[in-house]
Amino acid sequence: MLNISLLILNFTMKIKRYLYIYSLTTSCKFYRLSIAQDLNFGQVVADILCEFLEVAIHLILYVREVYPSGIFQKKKKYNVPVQMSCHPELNQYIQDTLQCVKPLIEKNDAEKVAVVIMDKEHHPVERFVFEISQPPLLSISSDTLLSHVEQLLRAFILKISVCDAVLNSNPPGCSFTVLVHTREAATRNMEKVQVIKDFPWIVADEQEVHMPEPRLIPLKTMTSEIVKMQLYVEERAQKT
Amino acid sequence: MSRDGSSKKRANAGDDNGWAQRGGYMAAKVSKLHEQFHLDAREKQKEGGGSQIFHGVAIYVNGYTDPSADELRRLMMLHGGQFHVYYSRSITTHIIASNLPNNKIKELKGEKVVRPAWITDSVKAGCLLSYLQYQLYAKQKGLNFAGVSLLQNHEGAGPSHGLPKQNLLLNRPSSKEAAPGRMNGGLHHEKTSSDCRSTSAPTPHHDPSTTAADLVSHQGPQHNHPGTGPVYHSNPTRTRPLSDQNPPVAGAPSSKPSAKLMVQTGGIISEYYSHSRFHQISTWRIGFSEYVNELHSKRRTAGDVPLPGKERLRRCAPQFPSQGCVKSCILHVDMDCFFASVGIRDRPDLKGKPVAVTSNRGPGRVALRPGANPQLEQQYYQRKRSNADPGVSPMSESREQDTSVLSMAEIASCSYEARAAGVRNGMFFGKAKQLCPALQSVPYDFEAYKEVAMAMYETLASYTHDIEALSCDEVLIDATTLLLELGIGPEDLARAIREDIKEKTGCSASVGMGSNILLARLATRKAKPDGHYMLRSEEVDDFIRELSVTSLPGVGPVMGRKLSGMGVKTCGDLQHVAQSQLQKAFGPRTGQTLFRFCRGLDERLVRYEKERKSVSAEMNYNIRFTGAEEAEAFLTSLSSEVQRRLQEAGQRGRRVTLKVMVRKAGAPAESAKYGGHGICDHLARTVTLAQATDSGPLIASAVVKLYHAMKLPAQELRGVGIQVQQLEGARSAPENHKRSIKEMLLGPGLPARPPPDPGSEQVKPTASGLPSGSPPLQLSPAEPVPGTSRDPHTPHHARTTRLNLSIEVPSPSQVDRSVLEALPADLREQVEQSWTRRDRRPSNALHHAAGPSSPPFGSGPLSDLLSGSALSVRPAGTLLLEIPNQPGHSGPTGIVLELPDFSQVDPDVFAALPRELQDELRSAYHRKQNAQPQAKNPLLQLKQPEAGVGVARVKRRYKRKNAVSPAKKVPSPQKRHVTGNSPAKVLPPSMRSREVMDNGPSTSSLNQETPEVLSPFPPRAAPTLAGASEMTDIRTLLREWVTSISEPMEEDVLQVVKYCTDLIEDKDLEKLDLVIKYMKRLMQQSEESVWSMAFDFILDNVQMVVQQAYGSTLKMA
Repeated sequence: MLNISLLILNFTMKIKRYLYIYSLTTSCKFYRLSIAQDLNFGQVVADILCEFLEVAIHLILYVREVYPSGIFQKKKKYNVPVQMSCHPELNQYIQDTLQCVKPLIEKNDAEKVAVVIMDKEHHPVERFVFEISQPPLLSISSDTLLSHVEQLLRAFILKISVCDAVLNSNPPGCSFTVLVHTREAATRNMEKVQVIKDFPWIVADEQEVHMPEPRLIPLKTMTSEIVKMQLYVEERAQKT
Repeated sequence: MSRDGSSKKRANAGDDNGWAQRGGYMAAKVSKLHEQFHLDAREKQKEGGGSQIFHGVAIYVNGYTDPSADELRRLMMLHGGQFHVYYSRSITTHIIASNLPNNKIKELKGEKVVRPAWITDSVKAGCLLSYLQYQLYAKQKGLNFAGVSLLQNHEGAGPSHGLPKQNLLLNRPSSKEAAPGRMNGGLHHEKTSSDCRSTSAPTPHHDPSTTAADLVSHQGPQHNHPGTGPVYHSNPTRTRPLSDQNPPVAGAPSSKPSAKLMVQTGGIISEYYSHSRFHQISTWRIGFSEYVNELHSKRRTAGDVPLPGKERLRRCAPQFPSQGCVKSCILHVDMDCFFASVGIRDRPDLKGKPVAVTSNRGPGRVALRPGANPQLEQQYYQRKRSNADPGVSPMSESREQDTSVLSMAEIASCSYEARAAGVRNGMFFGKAKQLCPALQSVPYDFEAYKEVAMAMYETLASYTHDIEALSCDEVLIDATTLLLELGIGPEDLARAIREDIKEKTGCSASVGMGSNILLARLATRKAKPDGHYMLRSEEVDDFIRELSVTSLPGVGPVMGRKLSGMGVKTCGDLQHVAQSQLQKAFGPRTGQTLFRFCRGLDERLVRYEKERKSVSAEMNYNIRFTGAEEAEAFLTSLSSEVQRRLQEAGQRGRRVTLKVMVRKAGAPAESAKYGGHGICDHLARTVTLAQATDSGPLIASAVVKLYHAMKLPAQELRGVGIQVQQLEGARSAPENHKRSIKEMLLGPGLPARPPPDPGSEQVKPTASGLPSGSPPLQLSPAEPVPGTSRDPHTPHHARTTRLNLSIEVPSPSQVDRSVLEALPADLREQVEQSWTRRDRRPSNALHHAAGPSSPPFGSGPLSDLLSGSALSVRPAGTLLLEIPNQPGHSGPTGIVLELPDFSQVDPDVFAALPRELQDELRSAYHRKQNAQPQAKNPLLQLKQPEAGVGVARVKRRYKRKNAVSPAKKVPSPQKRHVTGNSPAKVLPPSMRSREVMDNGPSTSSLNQETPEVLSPFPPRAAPTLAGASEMTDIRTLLREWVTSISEPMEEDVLQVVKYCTDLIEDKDLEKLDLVIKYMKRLMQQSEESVWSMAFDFILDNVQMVVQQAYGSTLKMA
């Protein structure tokens, strides 16, 4: 629990740091030019997205009742209440996973990040797919405080928290996994660079990916200067 | 002798070193080895069984061979030859190798490199066989094979050598003097597997080039020997030199000295295209279209040049009895079996005999190539065909199991005598020969085709310039005016034309005449051969009723099958089918076309200029890749070919489609037709680029990605094509992207125009013939095409399209009566008619927000508008920007911009605005606070259209949807959050320019700032439906559409489908979901069942696209 709260604090601080820099950049054109070169926008975007993904994954696990609601605790993020697990191992797993996702997002290599909920036989029943694409040229010029992005992310969170209304309920005993759909040739680098030791990416089994008769339920789309993302759920027609 | 092996290897590895350091030690060693060999040999010979067949032959074995070097050494000993452990240029006569690295090949140029089979076969044969057929590679001599090979380009990667499909090179005799660098010339694959021994003389299909002929003559006879004969496997055209020998027709392949690889692979393709004569013929149409265009522009500049043919006709006109004037008359001129009649033009001996033009000159049989299974392919095609027509009896089964099979060379054209015997165009020559044993084959004569076609066009152009080139031998003529002018009947004209063509070209032509294009074409069928036929309006009904549906243009075998499934065989049957049924079965557009065609109706016009919809390059001949790299390289070079064509056409495209043909699973690895693609699956993938492009590398990267996404093995590819769609003119659009405001301001020839008087402008679109020399023409990004080059022609469009032009007419109250009165009577009538129509149909005028949020930066005749009648009804919180003189628009050219939140307005910018603008903005914000947005919006009414040019396009646009707003054309809707501090960034370029013009000096402060802010990548426009992109607007639009109209128009439905597809492409599934759900509610509630049908249609289409993009379908609750 401490872990999580620390983490959130950590993220918030990060955002603040960037915000500071951006507000600086816009006030002075000359500065902006020089800073834009030093600053890796991809990194910023990756930070923001991974933070969001962490919140989203926790919330999905809660909403879809993958884990008992007892392990979740209410927190506030993006100015809305969210549920976060306080199971240390689960949290560690999610963190590690996102740690590994981050470099991919940074390089715009991740096309989709999918949170897959699987039944007892490890067949996917539901897939929350975050489709991410970055504009060719990143520029954070107008939305200096990224408040607009925050609003959009909040909308995602809110949409996730009510998504059980449009989804059929899952069979008992589900588990989850995180899949990343990379763009071409990204996998090669992934094998080379292991972000976390002994926590490598492996190619997903056909069994984990294939879903018979998938139904697509679009949840939310956002378009912002730094990222274009949409969330949809793919649901197996027959869940039980 | 293992020692040999290792030492040899060392020598190999040492290469130059080994030779260079050849000092005492090496010399001693070599001579010692020689001695040893001779001793051994003498002993071996004594043992018996030896011979002297290899006398004088000294071999050196390089690399791994089968049989091994030891075995070869033994054989050489036995049969009087010499075996060198070390290679010596002076004394070694042959090098034995089955595989050589490239640098080795270069080094060994001029030497005889022979496969080991030569030794073993010679021993078997008991005599020294010619080494020629066993040569490992070809040292092509001279011009023909200076070229490049795809494989060789990848020598660095070098994986090809390890593959079973080896890169063996043919050798030619007397090639020792081959110039350096020429050796790695041809691309020749060979399967080393033993089953590929029985080979054939290569029959290069389709290209009777000298190269191929050379090869045939050199190697033909030897190849039939079993166990010989490398398979000549490459496209002859590929191996030609890059620079010379280019025929004059196609553009020279682009080659630069630098960037070798690019040029080489790129060269192959432009090579292919510049040499593939078939490709040239297909491009001739464009050439002739251009020729006609040229005629027109010449005529315009030079005034009325007398047309010789016309003058002559005029002179003889009195001889012809005048038949009274015909309303409209289209002539369809078609040469009779063009290729065949040109082919026998100079060969009177062939006249009256069955003749076919084909590349095959033999008896119609060729030897079977390994890996090919023509029977299987035949069966496949047969099955396909018998699906179409169950009555077809199975073709004479391929009884001959010998090595020769029926020639698969296609017949390009055959004479009427041959047709009488059942031979058809496109038939394989082998089969045709079976049907008609007397069939004579005539080779292609491309120069003659060109000459004859040119002569025909020149002849026709001497009569009139209203010509549409359909192909090299097929022309449509709009003879209406000509006949009126000359006062002669169409038949007389046709006779004159035919005689003229016959005289000038020596070939006969047939002419069909009718009141529209369709009838003219159908009449040609009846006119053939060598005749003319006039399909009179009174005969049309009877004539067309008897006609088989497949004879309608656009109805191919597939559609014919589908129709016969519906019980429709003739056009008469088709007339009984309801339009809605046809549209349901074939899609809205095709359905309607069918419905009209079967009644002899066709409203297409003879156009001498065609707007290109796509630019593409395809190759499906001789595509055999060995690896992904090759495929990529090929795609890259094909992309540069596409680039060349795009640039030639002056177009840029946004949608890139990769089409591939993949060997069908289970199909034979080698196609029966030489180099052909065999039985294939056709696949296509499309991607939409962020912006239109004509850059080859950009297209290439997109295509390569698509290719990888398809996950196809490169070996299985049999055809590759790249198509670029969604074209826009290259000249205007890109310039606008880059042009800064400053440049625009400083740019010459842009006089600021006062806002046009709405009253006087209104009527101009109807009086469409007027060319308006509107200065901001080039500024409009939405209208990419109207370059000045086209302008001379546009009045013609206007003239021909005027009568059935449907333009949204302003409401009566808005029209200046005096202007109306000044109009010609017929135009006035039309305007008035349309008012009455309008009253009957509720206007579904809609609100078009160009963008959710545009900066507080309005300009233009704002005050005019605000004081005008539009003010009371315009939704609050919007600004109307009016762009004068936007060509091609007769609709409202105002653009409604939603105001951003007041808090988002940058005070500095606001302060920089002129006072009057500030006032307007303030009042707009004021209104926003007070007023309720209104759904109905009379913006549709013509406000200021001055659309002299490009009315034809307007017609199209307005047919599609009367609610289409010009705002849609503007690359608009920026996202809300984009609201930058610089307004100019968000404004579409056209508005920017306008703004500059209107604001004059007061914007100078902006000008310094904006160029830097302009993003090099303009954000991609969000998809819009009739100009609307916000959900609320879409809802309003849809609601009005569904509630106000009882039956949806197909164009509207398609427009919605298009919008939904755009949303999917834009990855905005959320909005798609909302739109679909909203439509579902609306349309299924509607009382009319057509609406739920329309919804089903939309949903089906959307689900299909979603399925393609995501592999799943939308969940519909």
